[in-house]
Amino acid sequence: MVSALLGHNPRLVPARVTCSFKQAWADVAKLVDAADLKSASRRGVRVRVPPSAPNLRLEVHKLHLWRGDRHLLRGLSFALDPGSTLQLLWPNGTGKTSLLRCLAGFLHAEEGQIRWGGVSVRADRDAFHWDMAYLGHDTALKADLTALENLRFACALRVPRGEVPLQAALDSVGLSKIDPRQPVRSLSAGQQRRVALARLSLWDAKLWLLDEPASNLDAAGQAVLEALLKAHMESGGAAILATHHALALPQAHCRLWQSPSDPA
Amino acid sequence: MSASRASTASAALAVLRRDLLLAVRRPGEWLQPLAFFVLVTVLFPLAVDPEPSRLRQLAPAALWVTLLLSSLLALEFLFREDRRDGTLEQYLVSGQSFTALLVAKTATHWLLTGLPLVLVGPLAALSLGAPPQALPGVCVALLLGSVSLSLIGAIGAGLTLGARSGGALLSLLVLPLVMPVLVFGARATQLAIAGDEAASALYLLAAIGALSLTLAPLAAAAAVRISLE
Amino acid sequence: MNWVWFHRFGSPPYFYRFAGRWAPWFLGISLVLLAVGLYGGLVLAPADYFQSDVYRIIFVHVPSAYLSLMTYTWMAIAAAVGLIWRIKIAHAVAAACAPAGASFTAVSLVTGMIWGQPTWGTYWAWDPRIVSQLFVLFFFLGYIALRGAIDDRDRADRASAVLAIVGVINVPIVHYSVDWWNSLHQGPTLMKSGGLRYRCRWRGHCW
Repeated sequence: MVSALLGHNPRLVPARVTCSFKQAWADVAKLVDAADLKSASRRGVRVRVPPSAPNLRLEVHKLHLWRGDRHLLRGLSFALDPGSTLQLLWPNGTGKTSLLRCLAGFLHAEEGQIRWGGVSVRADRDAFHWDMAYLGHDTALKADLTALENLRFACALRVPRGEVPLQAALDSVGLSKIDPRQPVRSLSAGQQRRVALARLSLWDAKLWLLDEPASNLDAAGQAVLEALLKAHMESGGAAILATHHALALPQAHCRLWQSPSDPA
Repeated sequence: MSASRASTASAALAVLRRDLLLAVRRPGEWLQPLAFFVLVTVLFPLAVDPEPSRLRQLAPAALWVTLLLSSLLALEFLFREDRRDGTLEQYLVSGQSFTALLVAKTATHWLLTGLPLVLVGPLAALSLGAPPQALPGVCVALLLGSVSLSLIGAIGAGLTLGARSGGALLSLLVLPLVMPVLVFGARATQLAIAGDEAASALYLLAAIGALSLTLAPLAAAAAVRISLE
Repeated sequence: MNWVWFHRFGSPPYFYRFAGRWAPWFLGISLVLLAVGLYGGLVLAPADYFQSDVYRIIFVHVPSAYLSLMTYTWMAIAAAVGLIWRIKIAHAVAAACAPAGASFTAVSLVTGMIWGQPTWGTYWAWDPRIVSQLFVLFFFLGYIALRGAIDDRDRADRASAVLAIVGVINVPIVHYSVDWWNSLHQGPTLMKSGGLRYRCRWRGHCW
């Protein structure tokens, strides 16, 4: 920009100035991106990577996260291969939820890199979100709608219109016997969690970020969660779980992580 | 990786449809502001001398201040429920344009709380002594004004999402922002009731509407995003 | 050019040390300048032909009106910088602007009222400038209230920054809407030269 103004004479323009100009411009572009303008225009011309292509690996490199005055995550690095899970067993208050929320894009990491399939997630947040599903403490179910209506809406948000096996998904989480007209409000907390798990299975996401997925679940419910996770891993999906429940998952592909100070 | 994804338009439409369905299941949220609007406009003639000429003078002010207050009441419901049950988080990570989904929410909110006020407004104006030939002007003013109120109000609703105190803070933030809407809306209504040409005020009202349609959703999306941090 | 000396101000500990060291000096300088200004305004300046000594309130009124708008703009710039580049110290600057700006606005409004009584015969006129100044005060108060109502400091910083930016876009709209509000009686004659000249002359009287 500056060099254009000065007639392309490189000697007149110190490299540092052009750099900082570029940097500032990139920063403004980032803000515009945050405001969704850029990603909206990008969405129109995106060429989707075919499903067979690259290794969708999640790489986290030297992630630093502050919450207020607390330096919560101090240079966290790990990688997650397709078809494997990582279970966070960190003690309470050490940042399990914050890590998941940071990966999902709610929280801003002060430093570090998060790469998905070799591409920084900040470069194309939407593409990452398309491959990702997040299940937090809140189930994001509407209490006044029925389970099927909730699932139908959740699919309309992400999956193109067509036949989606909603009832089959409900059956697979053991909710085949509930009254179809029953609003979610009248379901128990564990049943609501199961509806949320059914939604997860319908989204067809490659990376699951699950925060306390087993809360309120009984033994049968936990088995449902394990079955879902196994099917997800077998189809090449990856998952990060923040839970202290012992889950029966294939040992070879499931890593346990005891404390953020340990290497992953 | 799924081969294809729902388009932003269909996702936004889904948000709209679901919020309408929810409103049918739970009518209180949008009926209450409407009832408030009717009630307060009825109270005005009782509070002042119900002599027609004086009422007519008072009508624009009564109509617009009441409209402002009832849309403020309705604004509190805009994002609160979705934030509480985690729906907003899911919108943010859906891979769809967050702004577009929030615009769909705001549009639903306007359909449920703004449009009824626009439809009831002419009746309220009649009861306040406006002549029937003034009603088209009043209607257009209410229509343009209520759209801007919903869009600008969404910024305030987003900003107060993470705040401790809701209602009073919301009015403190939103009322200074929507003051121009009140000014031009009331002036257009006044001109229409007096039988004058209201076009100039309506143009300005439309200009504010266009401005808020382009800029307010961005600010509202930024505000909601921050409340989810 | 080497900008390291400047970038260092972005670090809160460095900035607080720097500010703590210099604050007393700036306080001293400002007190001296204040005394000089007061002497100039109250003693050196001759009495006005029409208003005699009443006009001297201009030396408080006008600077505080300037400062209130300048502080507002400054607050919005700092907020935008903090929002875009996530610089904590910028948010601190914006937060520090709010109470100062609110008090300048209040001072300009109150001195305006005191001045208005002897010159216009009323404490309050619905002049565009007065009304927009009042709304600037409401913005400052809303900003302070929003900051106070959010517990998480980072979120409070960023949410109030959005409000400051929205507000700075809104201030001219508020000003012109009150301006046109008065002239809308004449409908389409809004932009005629006569109307404008009339308003300009009136404005000359206000200050």
